[in-house]
Amino acid sequence: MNLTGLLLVTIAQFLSGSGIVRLFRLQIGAIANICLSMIVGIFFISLAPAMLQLAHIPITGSNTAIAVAVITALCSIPLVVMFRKPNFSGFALPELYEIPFLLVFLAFFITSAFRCYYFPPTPRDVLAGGELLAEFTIREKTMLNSVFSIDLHTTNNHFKSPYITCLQVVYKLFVSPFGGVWLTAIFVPFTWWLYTILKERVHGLVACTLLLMYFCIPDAFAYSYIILYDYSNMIFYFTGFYFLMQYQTHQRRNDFAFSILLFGIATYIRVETLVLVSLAALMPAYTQFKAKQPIKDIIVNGLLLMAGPVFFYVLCMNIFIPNFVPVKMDTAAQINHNMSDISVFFTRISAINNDLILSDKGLLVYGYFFYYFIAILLADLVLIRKFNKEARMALYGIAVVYFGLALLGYLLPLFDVMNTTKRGLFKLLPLILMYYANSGIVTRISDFLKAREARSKQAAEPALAGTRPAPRPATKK
Amino acid sequence: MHFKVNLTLISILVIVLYFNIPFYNNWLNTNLLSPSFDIFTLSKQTEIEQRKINRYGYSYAIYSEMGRIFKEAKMDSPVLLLPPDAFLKEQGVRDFATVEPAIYYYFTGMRGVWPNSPGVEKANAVIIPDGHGKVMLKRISGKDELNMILADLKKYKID
Repeated sequence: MNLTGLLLVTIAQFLSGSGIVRLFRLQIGAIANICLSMIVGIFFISLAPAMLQLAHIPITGSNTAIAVAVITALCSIPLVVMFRKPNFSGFALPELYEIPFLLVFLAFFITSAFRCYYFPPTPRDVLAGGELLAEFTIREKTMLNSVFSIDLHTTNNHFKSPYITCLQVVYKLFVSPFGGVWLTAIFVPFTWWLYTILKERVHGLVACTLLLMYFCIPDAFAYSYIILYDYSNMIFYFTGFYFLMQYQTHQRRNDFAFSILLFGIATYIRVETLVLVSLAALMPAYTQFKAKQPIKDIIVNGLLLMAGPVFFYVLCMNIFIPNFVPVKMDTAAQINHNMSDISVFFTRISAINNDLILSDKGLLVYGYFFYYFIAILLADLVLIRKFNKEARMALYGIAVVYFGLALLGYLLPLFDVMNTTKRGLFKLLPLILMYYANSGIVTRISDFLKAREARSKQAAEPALAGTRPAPRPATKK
Repeated sequence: MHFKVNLTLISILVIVLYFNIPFYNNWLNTNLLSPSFDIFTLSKQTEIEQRKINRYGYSYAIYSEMGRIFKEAKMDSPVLLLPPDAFLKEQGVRDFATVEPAIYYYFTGMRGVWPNSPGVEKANAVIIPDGHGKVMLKRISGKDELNMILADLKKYKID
């Protein structure tokens, strides 16, 4: 592995992301700032080979390095214009009881990072798609390469977003022969950020337990080192939804604008996310409607929320793919031609439940994660019967993904259950964590721990004061 | 402090209990702690080709070898006919899987076709069973031989 290359690409990723995050003036802590910068930065780095291709410049190592440098410089402008001293107040040492968990998480991180670096990409979808294109882009210095002269009738993966192709190009050129390491560069910050948002809501011990449950989802962990679109899509979709929730709670327009960007990137990675975003957009519309805001404002808000994803959809489908793929895509052929038969939608819901979530296969894929969710939701419904605003929004987000994936199965017959929907359900996982962090049962346990900890602290303070050495009596001269 | 120590013990207990749930215990042992994924052992095998063979398996090794043979034979634009898996299985071939032309191109940088591919008439070599559960490479001598092979292979399901 080229460690210098990794360091430079990571710095470029951080600076690009940092500049974009600064642009939105988000009210977030220092750790969240670092993590979100890394997450957002990866997308902007991925644009480098795409820009070279659009400009008909050969995709060589030096040209790509210049493109990455230019993108970094452009994205960093807000860092210079809106300069402020770094704020390290958000950093705090972990509590003693968090350390055993953090050691386990570190073991997960190391395992995932090593496999990302060590193993070549394996999924058929990337070997016959993004990875294949990236490999021959590097060999032939153009994305319009000899891959398009071979028989591609068995695959449609070359029509997918250039996100993976471009990142593989950058990382193969500068970091490691199999690329791949970029996945670690977003998996670690995303999980760290998840931990911080959980800790803002519940006691550290509870946050660690919830995150342990998340780490132990077999397929979600596997896709933290197996290159595919879905893990990145989950990260950007959830982050977008989180900032939409923040906007709903605090009514800060910056959170709203940031969520538009994140939903846009999620759509760029998997274009069908547009359908999920349009369903998610009903949440602020409903809130505004309840607050009796003018219909015009509700429509403008909805249009703004959709503008980002539509822009990125157009960028991917109408600018990048036609310029990078010299083969025509028959989009119409991929759409369900029998829309009047809505039974497909209900069949799909039944398949999601019976073949995925509640099946033996589902157990191998998601572990008991969905069973925990059903148990906690039922316990909240029966015992607590109260849901705070964030819990309600998280539940809405869960419903959007659940029904949205069934809707996509109805609209696009190629959107199968055992592969595409299976991985699409990853988007539920952080939303479920968000629900846990607001669940009545979980917050009661958390409040109990917080209260006991506070009492123990109070009790320790006078005791500590008693052990302090008495002030020395003044000596007479 | 006393309470924090108790919480630390609870943390350890939660971790131990969680990984003692049979499902997670099995997952931990077969995936994270599996000897085949051992970081220290794998770190010693740094050679790129070996890592590919470890990950893609026997089939990759065979395709890679075929690519080498084509290069050494200096064949003019070799196009390999990839037979359906069902055919190979029926002939008793084990551990070898047919890949699609795109993946064959990724593995070897050479062209491959399925019996139903456009341009199948350009195939000048084919993978055939060697009668001992393995496969071998055979040069296709002409159009007649290719048509005979195709007629045979098209009887099987291609996917």
